[in-house]
Amino acid sequence: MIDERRQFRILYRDFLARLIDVEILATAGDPQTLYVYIVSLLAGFNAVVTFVMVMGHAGTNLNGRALLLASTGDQQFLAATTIVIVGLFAVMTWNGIFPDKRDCLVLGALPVKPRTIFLAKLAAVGTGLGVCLLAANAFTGVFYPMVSPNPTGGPLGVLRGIAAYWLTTVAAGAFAFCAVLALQGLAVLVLPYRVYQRISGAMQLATLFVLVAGYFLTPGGALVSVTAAANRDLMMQLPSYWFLGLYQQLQGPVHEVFQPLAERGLAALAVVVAISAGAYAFAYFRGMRHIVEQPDIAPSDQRGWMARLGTAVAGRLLRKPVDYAVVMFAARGLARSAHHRLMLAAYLGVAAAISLSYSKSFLFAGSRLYAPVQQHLSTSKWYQPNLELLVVGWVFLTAAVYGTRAAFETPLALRANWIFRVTMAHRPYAYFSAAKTSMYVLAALPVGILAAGGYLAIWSPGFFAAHLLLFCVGMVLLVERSMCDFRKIPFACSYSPGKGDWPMTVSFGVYGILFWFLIDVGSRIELQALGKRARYAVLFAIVLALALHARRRWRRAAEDRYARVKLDDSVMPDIAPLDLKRDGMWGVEKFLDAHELEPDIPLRRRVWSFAWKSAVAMVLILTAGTIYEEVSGRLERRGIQPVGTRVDIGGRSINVSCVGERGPTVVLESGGGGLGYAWVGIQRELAPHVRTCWYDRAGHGWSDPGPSPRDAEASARDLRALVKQGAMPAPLVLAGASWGGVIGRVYAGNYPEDVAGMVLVDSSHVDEEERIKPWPEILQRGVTALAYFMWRTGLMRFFTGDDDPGPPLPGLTAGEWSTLNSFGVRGVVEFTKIPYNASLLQARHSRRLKGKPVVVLTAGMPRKGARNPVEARRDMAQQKKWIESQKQLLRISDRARQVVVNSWHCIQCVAPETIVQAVRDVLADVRGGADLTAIGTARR
Amino acid sequence: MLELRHVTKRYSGIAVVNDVSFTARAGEVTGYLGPNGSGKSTTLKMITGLIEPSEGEILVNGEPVERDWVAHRQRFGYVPEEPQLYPHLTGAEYLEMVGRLRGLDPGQLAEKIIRLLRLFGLEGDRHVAIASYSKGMRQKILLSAALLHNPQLVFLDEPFSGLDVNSALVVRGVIQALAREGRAVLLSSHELEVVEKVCSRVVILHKGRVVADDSISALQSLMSLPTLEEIFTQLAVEQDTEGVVRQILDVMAL
Repeated sequence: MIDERRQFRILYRDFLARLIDVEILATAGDPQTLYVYIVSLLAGFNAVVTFVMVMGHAGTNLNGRALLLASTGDQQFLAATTIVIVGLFAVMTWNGIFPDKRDCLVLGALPVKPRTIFLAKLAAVGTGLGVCLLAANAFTGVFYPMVSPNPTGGPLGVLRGIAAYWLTTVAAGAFAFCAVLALQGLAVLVLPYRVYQRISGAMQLATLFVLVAGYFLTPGGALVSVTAAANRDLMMQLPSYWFLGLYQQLQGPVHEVFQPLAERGLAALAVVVAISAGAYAFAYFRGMRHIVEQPDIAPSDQRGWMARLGTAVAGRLLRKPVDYAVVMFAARGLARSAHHRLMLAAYLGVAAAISLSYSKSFLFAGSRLYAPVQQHLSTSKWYQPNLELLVVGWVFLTAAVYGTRAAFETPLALRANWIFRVTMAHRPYAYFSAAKTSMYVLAALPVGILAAGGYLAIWSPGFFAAHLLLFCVGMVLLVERSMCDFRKIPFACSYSPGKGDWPMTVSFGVYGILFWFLIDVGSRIELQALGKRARYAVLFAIVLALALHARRRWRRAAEDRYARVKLDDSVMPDIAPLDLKRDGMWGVEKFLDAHELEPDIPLRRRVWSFAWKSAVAMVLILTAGTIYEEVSGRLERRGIQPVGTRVDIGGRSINVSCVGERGPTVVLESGGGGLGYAWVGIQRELAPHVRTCWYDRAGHGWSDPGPSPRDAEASARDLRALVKQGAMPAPLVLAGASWGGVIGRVYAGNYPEDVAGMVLVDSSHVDEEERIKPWPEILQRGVTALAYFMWRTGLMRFFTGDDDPGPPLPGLTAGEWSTLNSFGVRGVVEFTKIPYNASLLQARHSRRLKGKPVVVLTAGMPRKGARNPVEARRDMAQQKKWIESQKQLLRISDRARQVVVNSWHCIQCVAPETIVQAVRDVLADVRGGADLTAIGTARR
Repeated sequence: MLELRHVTKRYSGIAVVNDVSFTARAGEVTGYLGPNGSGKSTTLKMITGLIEPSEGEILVNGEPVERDWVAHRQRFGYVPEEPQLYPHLTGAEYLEMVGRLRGLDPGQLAEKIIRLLRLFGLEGDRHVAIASYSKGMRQKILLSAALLHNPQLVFLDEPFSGLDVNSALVVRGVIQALAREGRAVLLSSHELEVVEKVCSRVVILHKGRVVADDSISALQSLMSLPTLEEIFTQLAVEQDTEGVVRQILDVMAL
């Protein structure tokens, strides 16, 4: 008697175990371990997201409808993340959802009704989907509704919020899953089975890419004004916004914009469910018989034009027989194994995601959606060398090389490897070389060619050639390094027990983050080097040296007399002599497998060898750097004549320049590390009206160094000495920019009788309530010593200085600009001598300027360079805090006012006329007694 | 000439091939027979180097093979029992890979491949992936791969498995021709009728030990049995086959 329920249970358990395409993700993978791993990964990610969201909501004073509306960013993020996670789950279960030939052959011959098979499969799929949704929302599903509850409030509001959250999540997840299912179902229905089998792999990869790309390209809800009418059309196209609308509607609609979004989402859900249900039912009730009749894998002719072209080219270029055999074996394996293709696609997918993340500024520049934050986007131009496109090239190269390396490690038809054993008539070096050639041919060169074409199309020939050269050397470095320990034939080595199940492990994530960081830093260094010959030469030499070293290392390992081609993962060296297993190796070779059994070099010798080699390398690099700095410095200073007068203030001189006759004396105080000469343009503007002076602080420009510490008090004393010498006669109007403002405040506090008024130009400042401590002296000295070392060895110039200075500052001629830039990075070194915190405290405790006019100029804009709109928004928020904080400077005088300038910190660079105007305002007051008691904030 | 001297293979102390000694001479087809699990395939794997013997020596032309393993690999062609091939490659691609790995000239290799495939009736399927091949087609590919480099020694483990009558006749003819041309052929097969027609000598293995090593005619005369099947049954088969048949029918009726 056939028990249908029992049959259902047996089939359900079997289908559930086979739901994820284990063959794709782990060759010898244990499904249960894999499921536990995936669930843990999703839940862990969700825990982090929950923490961030809860912290973000803590301290908010919004509640009810206002909070619900303000949280659309979070809600859209959760919907988008659910969609992409479930979508990826659907891609991973691609081959496990619809009936395959194995199901049909085995089950078709048994007395099991198609209805039972269908329901069991449906139940297994539903279970998988449910577990995936639960894991991906385990913590946000409980805690998010608590911090952003329903406007009803109270426990009922929380419960309603939880219900709304989960209903929306299930709807979004079902939409994503059924959309992928519908796509697959339509293909199964419309196409002949053989054709479907052939293109199924490509469809799977394309779906994966679309999901990842869509996730990163969709503008985040934090950036989009959801209530703005201009954005409605776009939101109607984006699935994550539909379910944002659904969530808002379920919580009690707070705005009319959400209803059409929710309706669109529900309609889309109904459509994909209908299509997928229909296709699914058809596949099981009508399609099984047809599937059995079809050949398993399409016996298609593999002589596509690409295959023929590849064979012809390989025949010409790969002269060595082993090279040809191994490269073609690897190429065909990669092209025809869905298992290996998906592994490589995972790496490339991550590269695509990183690239999209970097390139968003190019994609969204000029976009209507990003109009509110356009001015804060990075100003890089795609047709000039820029960080974003450099990163794209390097990321794809790294992903291609290491993804292919991972694919090479994964076995393909292990039992067929015997043919390599019985034909192994060449030295192991020949096989290792062939494997490395495979890496060049299949991974590195294709990316290199595509990158070359792309960069040539958008950049000038000079930059293109420089980058391509570096790219080629970097490619060699990556390939040689990645293949150094590869003693196998691609796809032709087994795993040790327990070693094979690592589809996307934590180590992959850690190495991925490390590589991302290195690529980012490396690209920034390259960007600074492009267009500057000396720096480029140094960078190229370093990368070339690393590449040659990697090559040498590879060669040494490949030619090692103990090296053997691994076709089985070897036994641990301490177990091998026990001779428990004598298969797989012939004679003496069994004890001499590769690096595990190399002669043991004592640790002390290895450490010593590494230490002295590193020391020699360091000495060579530093010597080269010192020469580089000295030569560069001399070239910069060639033909530069000092400007100003050197005034002896007792054992050392300070360089001063004063122009104009009429008093009081305006003293222009530079920012940290800055030269007095930078004020020459403003000096020229003011000189017809007032005596205007600038000077170089000790150690800067043409002034002698001064004794440490160079705190604000010390600089104020130097200034006082100049005043007493008559170089800058009192009374003074002090105009201090940035760090110069701190010196001005300390001077005014110590010598108020000298000061008639003050202009603070985005002065350095610390909140009155903020508790800061001076650095310990030893730390200060250490930082200064390090800065000096980096300066003298050229490291500082290489990493930070020598940037293209760009056009001259407003008011400066080209010659003056050139003179200003001739001092290189010395100012940076001098700045490290300043006990910064101690000086800020000195300024904070300085006496007020009672009755004296003070104008506080504050920068109203952050510096441009945000890489994406999220960063731009954050920078703007921080700038607003800064403007608020600068109001505290108004306490310096009862006649102070703040002016917020439409400029970033360097007001002198962007809007020098505001400084000139502020000085004139103060002068007018000092001379004419004008009333500046209108305290407040004005914006210029 | 291939010679095994006291070759033994142990797994966890159990000898699956126990003190086996025999010679396969040039110009002869030597049959290597035995029931399932008697050690035939293990012996062939030791000869081809896929497995290391626990004891004993394997010599070719009087020289131990381990002295020049590379030369030994160049000399033999091997058809394993299981037709394990790379499913993603086509028949032509597989043969090309094997030929290249053996260092054959590309031009000659291409000619050899097309002619062998034609002769085995696989020319029309040469660009189809091996995953689509039937068992017989895979067997033909294995045979082609074993003969590509014109080996002096040929080791065949169940070469007729999966072949249709025509192909089996061709393979039989090839085996005989190889021996006539002076090659040493070691043939392991359950097809006793074919072995009887093709082989000049047989070595019969039972529980890892050689129980007979002589020409078929000498064995027939010695044991007074007319056919190789009867000789084999007498020496290597312990089961009461008729009794087993009766018991199977009893189990079905339970």
